Amino acid sequence: MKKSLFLKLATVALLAAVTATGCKKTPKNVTPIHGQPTRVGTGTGGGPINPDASPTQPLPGPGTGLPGTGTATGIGTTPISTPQPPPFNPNVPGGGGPAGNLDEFEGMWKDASAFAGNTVFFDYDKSVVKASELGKLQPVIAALKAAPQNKLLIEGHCDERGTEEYNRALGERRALAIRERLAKSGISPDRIRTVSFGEDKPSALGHDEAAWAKNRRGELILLKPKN
Amino acid sequence: MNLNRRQFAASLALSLSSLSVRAQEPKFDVTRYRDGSQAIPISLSGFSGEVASALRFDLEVGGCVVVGADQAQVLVHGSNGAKLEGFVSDRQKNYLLAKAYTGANQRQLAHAFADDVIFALTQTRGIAQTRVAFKVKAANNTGEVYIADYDGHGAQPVTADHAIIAAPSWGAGSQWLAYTSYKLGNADIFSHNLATGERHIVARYGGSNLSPAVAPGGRLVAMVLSKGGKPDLYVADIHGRGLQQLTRSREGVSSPCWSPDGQSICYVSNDDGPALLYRIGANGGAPQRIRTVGVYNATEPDWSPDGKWIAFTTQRGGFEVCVVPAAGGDAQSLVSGQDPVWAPNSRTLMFCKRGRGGPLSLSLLDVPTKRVKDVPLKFGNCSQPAWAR
Repeated sequence: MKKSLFLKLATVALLAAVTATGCKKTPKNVTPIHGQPTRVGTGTGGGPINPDASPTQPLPGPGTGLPGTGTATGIGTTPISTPQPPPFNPNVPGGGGPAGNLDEFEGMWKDASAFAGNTVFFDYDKSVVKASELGKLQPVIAALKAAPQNKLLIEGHCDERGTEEYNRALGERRALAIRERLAKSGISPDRIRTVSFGEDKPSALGHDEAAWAKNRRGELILLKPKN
Repeated sequence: MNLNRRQFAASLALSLSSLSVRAQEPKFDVTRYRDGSQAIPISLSGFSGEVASALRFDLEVGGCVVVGADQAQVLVHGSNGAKLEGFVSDRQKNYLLAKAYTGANQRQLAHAFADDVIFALTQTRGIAQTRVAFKVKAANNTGEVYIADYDGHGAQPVTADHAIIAAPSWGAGSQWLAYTSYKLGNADIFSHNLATGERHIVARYGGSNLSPAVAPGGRLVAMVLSKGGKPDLYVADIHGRGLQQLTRSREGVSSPCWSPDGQSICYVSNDDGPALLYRIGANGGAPQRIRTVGVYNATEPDWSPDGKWIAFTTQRGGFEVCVVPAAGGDAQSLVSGQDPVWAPNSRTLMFCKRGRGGPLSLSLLDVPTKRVKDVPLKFGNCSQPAWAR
């Protein structure tokens, strides 16, 4: 008798708990990447960069990617469909269509030298920012706080062990982990972007632990506005 | 039009039986070799040049071993000139196949005959006329997407961007590919129409857009996007619309692949520590672990077209290509190598291996017999194969 009552109460309590907390919880240490307008649908309008445009011209199309413009995106936002861009023709030299200018990122200049000494290194198959690496982030945090017009691009990399797509995701996890750390220190996550190169851009070319340790890294690239 | 095997064999047997006085050898039994655990001993005669070499490659991949006429259970013979005439007979001179082929180049005729031979011998569909896509990497790790016949012939580039690319995935009807390219300065997912050369963006969100996997039927794409703050599994249509987030992981996911019925997605997650396989419904829900007993980690899964197996890579020291029943269970290591992809016959795998400190190359694995055949490709670094179905 007591047992069945207890079970009933337990079931009610459990149901109440589940209802109260909801079923879809975002895990901790997960910060969505806002500020970048979604580029989706049959085309991206604003995505391609016209190689003939001078640096002072804004990018064509909606959503230029500069801070403060564009639509915030996050989990559950309906994608924005944009007009179809001209098709690429891979058989035309140079691609026949817009090419990415590699000195730029989202309409800002890339400066890889500013924080070249602050590269964060990781343990094998890990994306945790080690306590011993945290000190490198202090000057970066200070610099970003002092220059609110600037942003940061974090490039995540892996050593050559591990399979390709796994490494591509691992590099991104590393970049995101650094981003979380910077966000905790007061830098708005809207100012921090990530990209992973997996094992495709080693900084050291050897096939031993000495080289591998140098390749498991997050590189911090300062982004400065064009004007 | 293929002659009805039984009718032909029956009429032949009838006419021959009155002549034959030697001891009766058993007629070739197609069920004997169907599980694939034994190679079918065949002799090959009468063909020349490209036809002979293509035929031999196809039949060896298809589960045959070429031996002398005295040891062969099956005789594959014929001639190639203006047209290809091909015959398959058993030791009792029962004809299992008698057919002529025209209207294409020599290799294509040979592949068509090879598929008919395999069907006559195993009642399963051959793969000699199938195509693959893969990545060719330059020394600086930029790459291009290539497509080729499954045997490496007729390879041609699909891109000319000199950008980092990854993870080609075939669309329906082998008319288009999805892949990741850094051409625009970010890791973005493109769709690429092979007939017209047109490309469209499927995903170019903030963060990295990785590992596209086109669903069977070709209307949906699964992919790994980090726009939500972790690399998570998303599904959208092939234009990138209707985006739905399927996972909310703690540690991130990678390399999704679809079940052949399009109802589930298998992917890799680190949420329980090492890289392990999970499945989730195509509309979301609770992920379930796919157990891979006997190995410590599992990445780059691919689901067999018959739904029964998942091939994947494990890493212990080097890489090993493994298979596990699709519901989970004991993992079986087959060969050194990585990134396996199933042929439409659910029997052959293409995978990537690295020579000692050297370049990446592609090879074919016959899962039942574990025989390996290298795919002859003239390029330095070939990886990430995808098989058109």
